[in-house]
Amino acid sequence: MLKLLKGLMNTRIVTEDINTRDKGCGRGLPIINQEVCQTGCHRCTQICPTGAMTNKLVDPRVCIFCHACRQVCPVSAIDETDIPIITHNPSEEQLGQDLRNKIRKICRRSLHIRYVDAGACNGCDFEINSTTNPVYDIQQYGVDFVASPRHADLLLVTGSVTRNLEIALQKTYQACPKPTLVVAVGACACGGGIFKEAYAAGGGVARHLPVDVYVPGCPPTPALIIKGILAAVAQRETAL
Amino acid sequence: MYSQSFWQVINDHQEYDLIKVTSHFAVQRIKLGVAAEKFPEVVATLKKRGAFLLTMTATDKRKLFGNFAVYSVFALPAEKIIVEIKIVLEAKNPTYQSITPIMPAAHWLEREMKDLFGIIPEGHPDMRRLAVHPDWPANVYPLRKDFISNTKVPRVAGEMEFCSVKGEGIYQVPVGPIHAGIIEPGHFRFFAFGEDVINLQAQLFYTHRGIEKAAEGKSYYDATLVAERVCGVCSASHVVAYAQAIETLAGVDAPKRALYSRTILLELERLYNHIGDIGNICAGVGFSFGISRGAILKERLMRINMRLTGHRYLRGMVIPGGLRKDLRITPKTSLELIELEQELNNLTATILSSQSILDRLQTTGILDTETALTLGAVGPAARASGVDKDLRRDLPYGAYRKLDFRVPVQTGGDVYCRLKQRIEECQQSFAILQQAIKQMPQGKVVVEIPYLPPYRTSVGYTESARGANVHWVMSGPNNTIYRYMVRSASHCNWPVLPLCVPGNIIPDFPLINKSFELCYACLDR
Repeated sequence: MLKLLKGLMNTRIVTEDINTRDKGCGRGLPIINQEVCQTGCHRCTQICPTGAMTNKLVDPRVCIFCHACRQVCPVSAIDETDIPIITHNPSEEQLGQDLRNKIRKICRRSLHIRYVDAGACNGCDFEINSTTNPVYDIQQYGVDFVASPRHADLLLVTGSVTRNLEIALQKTYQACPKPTLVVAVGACACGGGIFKEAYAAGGGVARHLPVDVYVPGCPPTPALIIKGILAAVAQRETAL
Repeated sequence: MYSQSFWQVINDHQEYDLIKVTSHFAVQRIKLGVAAEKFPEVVATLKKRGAFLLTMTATDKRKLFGNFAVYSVFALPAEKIIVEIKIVLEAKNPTYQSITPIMPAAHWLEREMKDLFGIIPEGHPDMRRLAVHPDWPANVYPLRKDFISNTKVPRVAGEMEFCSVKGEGIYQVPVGPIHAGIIEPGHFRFFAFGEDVINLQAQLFYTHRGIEKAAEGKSYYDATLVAERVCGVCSASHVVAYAQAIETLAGVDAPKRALYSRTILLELERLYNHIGDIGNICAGVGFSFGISRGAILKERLMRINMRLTGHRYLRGMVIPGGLRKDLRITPKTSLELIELEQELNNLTATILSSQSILDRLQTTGILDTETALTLGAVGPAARASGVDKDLRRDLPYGAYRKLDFRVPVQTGGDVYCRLKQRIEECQQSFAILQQAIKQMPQGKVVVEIPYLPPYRTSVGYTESARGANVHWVMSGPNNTIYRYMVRSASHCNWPVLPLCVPGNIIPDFPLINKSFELCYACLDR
């Protein structure tokens, strides 16, 4: 007991704000510097394992952030930028101090999430788990995970929706009170990932459910996942 | 240890067709072709000599040679030999004598071959479906070459098969596939009397994506991305195993600096997994202090990963031939690790000094040594039950030969021993990391792989945080992959886990499950 108290005393507050971290590190979205890029060279488009690159633009939903394009570029014209969260209303970029208030208005002080793994590799699961740790502390925004879809305002889906989980995902969605927000987390959920062609992988959540917000990344960082959840809430507010 | 070496056995049996012998890192690799009817006999000989099964799989070579082939890979740790045995089966009637009665560790592998290839292991004690669900049509075998990968397979009516337990007051408790927590999907069927579990069976393979098929036809370089994405949290150990398989096949050695760097990646992965598990076991007993502290330590490790490699799960570093780029190790890295080790020691001292926690952990979910040995359990779960098996030491790969470390072993086999095992392994990992950082040789980190000889087989393995990860590769024409098979540690341990639950109460299942910490994605593929 004494050790426990001593441990508690020694730990300072570790919780961070989502907007102050993860800047400049981690795998960003490849972006081509058109001034440096050589015309007629299509190496990046050819090497892309998921076909995310068309007309020298990368679709963040299809990209798996392997950065093969950056390595193959002969003139280093490909840089990286922050991974964007994709909502139906792309002007929804500034999510900040008044988020807590927004959630209060829409969800009466809290947002309840039901998490569904629809065939992920475990990476996204671990990052979603990390959002609940003391460093990211998703509960500070009034957001929490619940055990039953009956209590959920939002479905957080990872994975490409495999054949064996298709029905389970549909049933979970049907069990949620409507309207239900759906957030697709990770490259597999957003666009099918690298297993798009595989016989039992479903090619992404959008083929099965209406998706409100996409959080690309392989896997996305916990901060980006929290931002995605908050973006979903903000979007619902504008719809109301 | 043995009166005669395995070589003697091969010499005594002229009918065994010795295909190839290679030696790599002091580990000898022998490839034998035997007649299908001799297969159980060879397996029995190997078993007598202390061999354990690494992996077993099939290939569809009907288009090439008009037959199927079954490959099984065994390790003889005492003689540092890896034996690959190949049997050829005719295309019309692919059946062979099951080896499960001799080597029970093969039972899920054989069932998987039956589901995915339609190769029948005659005499197998359990012919129920495993890798495909009841709604998969009969006679559709996705890993056969005539099955096209993006085919839409119709659903048929079917029921899950469980061996039921009947009697007055016995209830069935179905759980899953979608669970209450943030974990992966799987269906568990408890047969319980009151709260006491009498029998537990699992229906898995929910996250089966068809990864092995997806890798076929890809170039060996592109398939690296697939290997990294088999599982999120065993990413490094999967991709290193894959890279080793390709390097062995091509006869190329990765540079020394790459080997040491890979060791650092593998140990970092072990650490963040083990520390995360220590926190999770606290979650299984509701000890919030341990949950939060474990999570903070894990997050700090993830950030070290990020600084060293640019990815929290260490993806994008390892390629066949070496590393894509150098690790960004700074003098600060090793100081940070020392600090983390100290904090972990404080945390585990707190956990292990709490009697109420120990009450929950001790004598819960016992895996006895005999079961672990018979069913071929691997990793910390096996070592906590007294099975002294660790591929880093038994069949050394990478830089592990040059590093000084100990393999801890417990004897109790309960949740407490598995926790203690992880704590001791963490200490060893910290020691390995410091050595590897200190001894890191200079030089380049990658060599080119010039050419993959077509239709050759190779095996690569690593000891992940959960146990042995074995990747088996057969090359195709033009540097492509013809067949790719991943046997992860979770594949070895999933059949074992349900056996530890009867005799415990249902509320202890999450705790037992967490103490094994198996991946679903690794198994399902």
